[in-house]
This record gives sequence, C-alpha cells and structure tokens, in this order.
Amino acid sequence: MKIRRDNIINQDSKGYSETPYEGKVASLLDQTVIFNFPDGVPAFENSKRFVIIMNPKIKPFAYLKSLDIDDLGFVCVDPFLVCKDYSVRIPGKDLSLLGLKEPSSALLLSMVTVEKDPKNTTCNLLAPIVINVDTLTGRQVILEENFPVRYRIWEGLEANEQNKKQDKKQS
Amino acid sequence: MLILTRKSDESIIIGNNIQVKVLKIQGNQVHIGIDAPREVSVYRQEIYEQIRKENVNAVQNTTNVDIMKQLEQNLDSLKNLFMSQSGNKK
Repeated sequence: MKIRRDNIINQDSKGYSETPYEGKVASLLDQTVIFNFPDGVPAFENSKRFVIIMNPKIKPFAYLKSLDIDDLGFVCVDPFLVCKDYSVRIPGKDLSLLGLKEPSSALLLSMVTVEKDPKNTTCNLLAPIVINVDTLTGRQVILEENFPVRYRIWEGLEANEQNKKQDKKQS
Repeated sequence: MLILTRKSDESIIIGNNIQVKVLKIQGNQVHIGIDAPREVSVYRQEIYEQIRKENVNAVQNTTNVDIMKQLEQNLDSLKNLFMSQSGNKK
C-alpha cells in the first residue's frame, strides 16, 4: 500500500474546519486515546501502549509517550510536513499486522532526534510510526525504500521553500 | 551458534514454520529466501540495528520539567520555520 500526502488528506470532511486529515488526527491527539503497539518499538519492545500528546508549545511537533516504561517518550512530527514528496510503500506484513486496509486509516509519524543546534535535529524517514486510526494499533514500520534514518528537518524545510519558489516561477 | 553447511537450493527449518533457503551463491553474495508466518518480522540486521540505535538516541524524558523546557527551547527555531511555511501557503 502506497501512502502519500494527498491520499491521506483527500477524504470527505466530517465538519472539521481544517483539512479532514488534520481533524481526524486532532481528535486522536488526546491523552485519553491509547494506541496499542503489540511489538513495542525496536529497542523498547516492552512498551506496548503509547499516547500522543499535543502541546501547543512545540506544535507541529508532538510527544509520543509510553504508558509502560516510565520516562520513555519521543518527539514526533508529521513527515509530510518535513518532506513534501515523502511517499511510502507499507510492506504487506506490516499492513496485515496493523489490519490496515486503506491509506485513509493510516496516521504516519516520524520520530525526531532533537539536537541543541536546530540545524542538526533529524527525523527518521526510514522507520515511521504507522498507526491504524480505526483500530488504534501502531507499529514502527521499517520501509524497504531507501530513506534516511537521520533526515535533517531544517534542510528539508529549506528544500520545500526552494521548490515553492521554483513552482511560482514556472507558473 | 549452531553451524550448518548448505548448498544452493537446500534449506533449513526453524521451529515448524520458518524456512530459510539458500537460493543462489554468487561470489561473496548469498541470496536467501525466507518463508515465515506474517507475525514474524524479518530485517537485514544492520538496518534493524540502525533503527534501534536511532530510537535510543531519540528518547526524551517527557516527565522531567527541566528537560522539557530545554526541549521546547531546542525545538523553537524549527517550529518557527514550520510556521513561516504554513503561513505562506494561504
């Protein structure tokens, strides 16, 4: 299954003021929604339950916090914001483990490694967190494509900006 | 470690439902075919290790107030960069 920015966003609206995808995500980013990760995540296999915590202070970043291991948390970001043409093919094995049947049920998050120098802060595009929002099941999917594990967010955003300028010139 | 010698087209069985087959040997490369149940994940080791390591690097202690403050500061300029992009969109 291929997941791109557009096949997630172009769903019918359920009355959310923003895009339906953002609305759907927003409704899940509530500490009371618990996501089950049957296999944990690599290196933390015992952490099987997570919550996503939205904090306006770090928006558009969010926290992915473990309920099973004290003090275990990650910073995450929507990879499509960082890399506009990010497009992933979820392997069949992961689709069946997640029970994922259509792209619109998928929520993708990229784990962020925060560095003091913002230019060195990276996100993991090779192994996104994929959540089935219908079943609230998640896992870290290791893609078979050749994406970087440490993608510099700063450079990604600058590249987005460059592309936009070029698009404007062409049109 | 158990060591077995196999030729091309020969297999080993792990448990009763995982088959590992040597498909082709070409110079210093070996092509391996793996048949395993869906719930068993199979990865190239160096890639799996890389993901494990990066997950460890990415860990944040989200319960410590001081660390969280520091984290917010470290994310601040990136956050602003995002803001300026979404602002331009409209």
